[in-house]
Amino acid sequence: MGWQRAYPYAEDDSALVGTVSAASPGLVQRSDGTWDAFSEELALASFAVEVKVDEERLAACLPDGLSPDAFVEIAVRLTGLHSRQRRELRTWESGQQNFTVDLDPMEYVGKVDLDVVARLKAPVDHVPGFAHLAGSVLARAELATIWFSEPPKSIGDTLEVRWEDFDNDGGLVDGQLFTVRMEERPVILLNSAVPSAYDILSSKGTWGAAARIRDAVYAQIVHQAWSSILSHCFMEVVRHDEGESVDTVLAELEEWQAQVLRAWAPAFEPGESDPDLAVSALVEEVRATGSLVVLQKLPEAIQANCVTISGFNGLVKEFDRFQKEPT
Amino acid sequence: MTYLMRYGSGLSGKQLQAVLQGGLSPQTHPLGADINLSPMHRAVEAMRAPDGAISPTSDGEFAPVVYETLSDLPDRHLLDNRFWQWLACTEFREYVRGRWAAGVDLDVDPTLKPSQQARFLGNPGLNGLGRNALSRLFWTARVMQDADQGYALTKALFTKQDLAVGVVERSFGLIPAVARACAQHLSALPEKDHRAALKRLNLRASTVSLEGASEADVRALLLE
Repeated sequence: MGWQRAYPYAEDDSALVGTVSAASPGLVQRSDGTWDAFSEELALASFAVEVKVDEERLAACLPDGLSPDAFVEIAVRLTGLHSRQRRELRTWESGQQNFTVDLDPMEYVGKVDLDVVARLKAPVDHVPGFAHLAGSVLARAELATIWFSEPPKSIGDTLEVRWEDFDNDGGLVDGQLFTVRMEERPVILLNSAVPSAYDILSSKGTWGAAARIRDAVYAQIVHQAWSSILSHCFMEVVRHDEGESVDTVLAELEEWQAQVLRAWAPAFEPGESDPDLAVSALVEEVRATGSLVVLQKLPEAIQANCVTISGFNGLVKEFDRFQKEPT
Repeated sequence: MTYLMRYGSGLSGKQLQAVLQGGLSPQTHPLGADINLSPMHRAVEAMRAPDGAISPTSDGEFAPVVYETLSDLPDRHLLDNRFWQWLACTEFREYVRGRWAAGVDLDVDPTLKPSQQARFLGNPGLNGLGRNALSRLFWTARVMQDADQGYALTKALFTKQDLAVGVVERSFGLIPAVARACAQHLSALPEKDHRAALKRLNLRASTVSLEGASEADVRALLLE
């Protein structure tokens, strides 16, 4: 069974339908459905929005005797974590609405999400199976995702590698071959002070001893680097409260941490073919087990994803060739 | 007046060390704005002990000064972590050192722990602007100040550093009414109680839309 959000009461997202189109020149819809508001210099990013409300479906989310007209309101919300904004743009009592949303590009960076919710206007008597707190969301529909800065390049399954002289850096341990640093994004530092390390690890050859050693050493580095990075991401997930939704947890992580979890989720949840459900399942599993069970899966997941055995196989071939050479 | 800049790209920990040692001058870009930073400089001077250390209790007083000084800048600059890095490494490096790394002499041995580096560097994420020594003050004052109470809630929040982190680094802390209600109703509670209340609010926030919630609604969720 796939992961699903567990609302503790009746709700129905299909009660709301929202459509959005560009209302100012220069806005371009990207191939993934999000909007590009950064490539052109825009004075304003304007969107025409239409929201349709299915009152009957909303009524089914309320206890008998309560009508959506009296107890439900519709709200369009803006969330931009990098812009440090969460606010309402518009609210109304019920029914269809057409309106324009104007966003000033000078007020936003990164990704901004618009959605529409139907929610309880005020608290109502508690009836089991139904929402009763003011603001309880009965239906929600996404409207648009807008990029006000270029989306970060996904690190997902690739890593930056940089050479440093560990002897000249007080923060690095002399004599070690590599280390992993969690900077703005994770980076593998290789020690240029280790004799022959640069020549071998930078070699471009596809066969011979140097290439075999290079591939085997890289396999070891890759394995240990991803172990560190994934463990770091899991610990960040565990820091969040149990009650937070998976979406909230992913949104509050650093962008690269969320990218890593998304990219690696299928390796940890091989039975889940949908990538969104896989990352949800992974986050839930990390939280449910305090990350322990998932950490136990690390070696298998990394070997499967990075095919690190190929480095060892290359060394075995080199060893065989070496043994067969006449003395 | 000071002509404001930002670094061309975000600094790494190693680059920060080199910048503080004077061995690296990163490329900078002008923001196209100049600001009188004197009120911030005067406040820093007043806060500094003879050994240069600055007490955590100064946060509640300094945050309004930072906010008032910089609030005319467009948000796009104020959201740019490279601007806050430049400010922390140049104009206010002695403030950051005094407040977060008082035992470190930047002129002799500027080796900072990662947690101290983060006070200069921050990062662009939700938590990151709460780490930079200056942006955390600005954004907290911005979300907390209101017409009725001025900066009273900013000061109340900073009396409990753990509460300040718990509110400002959560996404519900971006909603001014929610953040203010947290400061108003939780700052007098013991740490374990305000932690429990924030967890409860976070749990409720998964199904309750907090945007548009009244102060009374938030209070009910915090103290239910």
